[in-house]
Amino acid sequence: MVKEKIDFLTGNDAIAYAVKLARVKVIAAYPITPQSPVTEKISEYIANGEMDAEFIEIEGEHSCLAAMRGAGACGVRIFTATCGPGLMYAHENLEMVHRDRIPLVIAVPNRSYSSLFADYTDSMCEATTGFIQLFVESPQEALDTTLQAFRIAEDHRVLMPLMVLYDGYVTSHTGATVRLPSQEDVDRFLPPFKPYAVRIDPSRSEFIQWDTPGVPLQEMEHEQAMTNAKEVIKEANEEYAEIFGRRYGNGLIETYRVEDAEAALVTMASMTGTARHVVDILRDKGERVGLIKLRSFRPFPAEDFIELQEKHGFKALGVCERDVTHGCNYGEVYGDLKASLYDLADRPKMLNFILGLGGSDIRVQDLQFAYQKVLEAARTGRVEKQTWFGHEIGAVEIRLAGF
Amino acid sequence: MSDVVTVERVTIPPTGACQGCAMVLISRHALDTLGRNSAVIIPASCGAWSGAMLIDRGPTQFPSAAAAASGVARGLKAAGHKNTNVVVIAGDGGTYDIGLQALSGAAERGERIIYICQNNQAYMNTGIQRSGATPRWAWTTTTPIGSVIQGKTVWPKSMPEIMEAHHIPLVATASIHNIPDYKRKIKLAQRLTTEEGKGLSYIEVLNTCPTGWRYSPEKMVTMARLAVETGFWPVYEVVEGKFKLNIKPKTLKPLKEFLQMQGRFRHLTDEQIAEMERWVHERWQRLLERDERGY
Ligand SMILES: Cc1ncc(C[n+]2csc(CCOP(=O)(O)OP(=O)(O)O)c2C)c(N)n1
Ligand code: SF4
Ligand SMILES: [Mg+2]
Repeated sequence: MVKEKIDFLTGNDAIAYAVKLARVKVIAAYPITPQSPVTEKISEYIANGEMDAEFIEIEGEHSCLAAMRGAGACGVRIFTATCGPGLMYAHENLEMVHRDRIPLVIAVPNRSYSSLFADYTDSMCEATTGFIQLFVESPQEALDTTLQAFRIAEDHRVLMPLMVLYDGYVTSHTGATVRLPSQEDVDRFLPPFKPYAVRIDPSRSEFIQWDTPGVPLQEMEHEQAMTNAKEVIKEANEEYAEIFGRRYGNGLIETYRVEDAEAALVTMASMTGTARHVVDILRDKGERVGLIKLRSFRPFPAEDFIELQEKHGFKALGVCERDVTHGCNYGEVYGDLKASLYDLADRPKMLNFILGLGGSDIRVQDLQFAYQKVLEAARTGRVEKQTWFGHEIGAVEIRLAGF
Repeated sequence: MSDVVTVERVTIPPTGACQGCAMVLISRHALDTLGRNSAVIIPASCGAWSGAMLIDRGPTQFPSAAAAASGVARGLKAAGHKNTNVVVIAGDGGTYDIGLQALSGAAERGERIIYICQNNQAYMNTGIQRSGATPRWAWTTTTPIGSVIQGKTVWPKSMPEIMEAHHIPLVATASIHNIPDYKRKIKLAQRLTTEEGKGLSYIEVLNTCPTGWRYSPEKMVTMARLAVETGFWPVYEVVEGKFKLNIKPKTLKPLKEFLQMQGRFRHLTDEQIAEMERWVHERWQRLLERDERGY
């Protein structure tokens, strides 16, 4: 039996709590909306002696990632959080964190660029950087995934940095009931960090000349690490479920009512809750629709989607995402999923719904519209229009005066 | 008394620097003085050619030397290491310009970092482009001698004064023609920063770079001495607020003696030389007054 407390927490507070439970040793962070409460909460824990960690009140995100890289090189557990412009500003050093194989965990409450609200403009810039990217749906999943994140990133088969992504405001600032594990149980799940190699260790009597492989070999090795990460994410999800009783699909994807479905939508993060509700409505009406939540965007679970397609033979799939790759007329996930399924003889028709940009709401009627379009494609075998933007189906962006 | 002095060296020749490069002396004497219980961070700069070292080198990108060093200092503390010197050796570009924000932040936070700026007054590593430390009128590849504009049109920043405004335990300048003075300052930094934990120490050394300044490499030390003797490069220290001019020639040599040895100043008119000399003398006067006052 695990000991748990139940509390009402926002996504940001849930993540800060997980960071405390994970016994992180060095944190650097710079405030940005909607991430700031994570930083503030951790500062409080340290100021009240509830957490024994170094907190670097860094002067910007580019420096923040450099400091994290420096601390990570000393072989201690590290954490930071940023989003939107902060993540973009940090890009140069994000790139270097993965090149150094530093298992940094970053919490990213996704934020658009010229809006304070959620979309994936920020993290999608890092789709090719070498970060593991896990999208989470709720404050509970944010807490659970942050604890799993250290296990995954620090695993010697992986040693890659990891982002825990959750929707700005929708999840970062909205309270929900969260089960808080005890320190004792977390210590069983997450032992202290054992570095594979410590780059900076002045107590070492022998000097080691570090030699990183040249770029082509390095990229190949990192791809292998990302492939390994798929197994490690699944393992962490299972072992977490064994101890705490909560499981997120197979760790990479989570399905909902996909049995006998002729069409399904792929969703990410907080929109998934709305999508489940829409599936229930449509199922009640006799429509054969299902849902696949993409939890691991990087590594991309191509094999799991293939297996699912082979098992269920969906006639059409629709990908809902809060991002667009300009010049392609589709989003990152759509492109990746289409590429993954292309070689199948029995591949589905595919549509893309670019929703929630700039934090616009993803409403029940938007997802009903998306289901209607994928069902049409499934039945007619034709796709009249591949990509739909939220604006085309009536979505309204949230705008603040002055922005 | 024995004539044999054994030094535990941290740096190992050869280096990848140009012939007659002063930067090599700057990094070697700093690191050999500080010893093995050190970690060093060298951002993109000529310092990257300092050769092999028997200490761990921390990671950093060009703009983030002081930030990476902050992370290393805290990481070492969290890992239980004591009295490890965390040293940065950065160029003037990585200090005055792109790295200024990170350095200012680290200084304000009181990080335990010994920050050494090797100032060769331009971006040498990328091909002699102007920096915030390039002297007025100097030729660089981005301040060429054109028919309309000749050389840099503005004065350089006063970086040591910017660092003084951060209330850190040590701000000092040094010159490679006086190694004992430089080493003394390195040891002072070790005590104040590493041992006593009083915050960041900043030491800036003029890196008389033959390649970028356009003069013959064998004159490297002469060039450094002349820079000090003409007042072009005053050598002083501010230790916990106390000011001292360390090298105080009775009279300054004419600035022209220093300028005329370098290709980068070859095009200067007599008026420009006179104006630069005025600028140099005014600063010298201010420093003499501070030396008199002691703060
Ligand atoms: C973000 C970024 N911008 C530009 C560069 C290119 N770059 C590398 S070294 C350098 C100049 C270094 O000048 P300085 O710091 O004075 O050192 P020096 O080469 O003169 O020793 C530049 C511009 C870089 N590495 N990173
Ligand atoms: S360019 Fe100047 S500072 Fe750089 S290695 Fe050559 S001599 Fe040294
Ligand atoms: Mg330079």
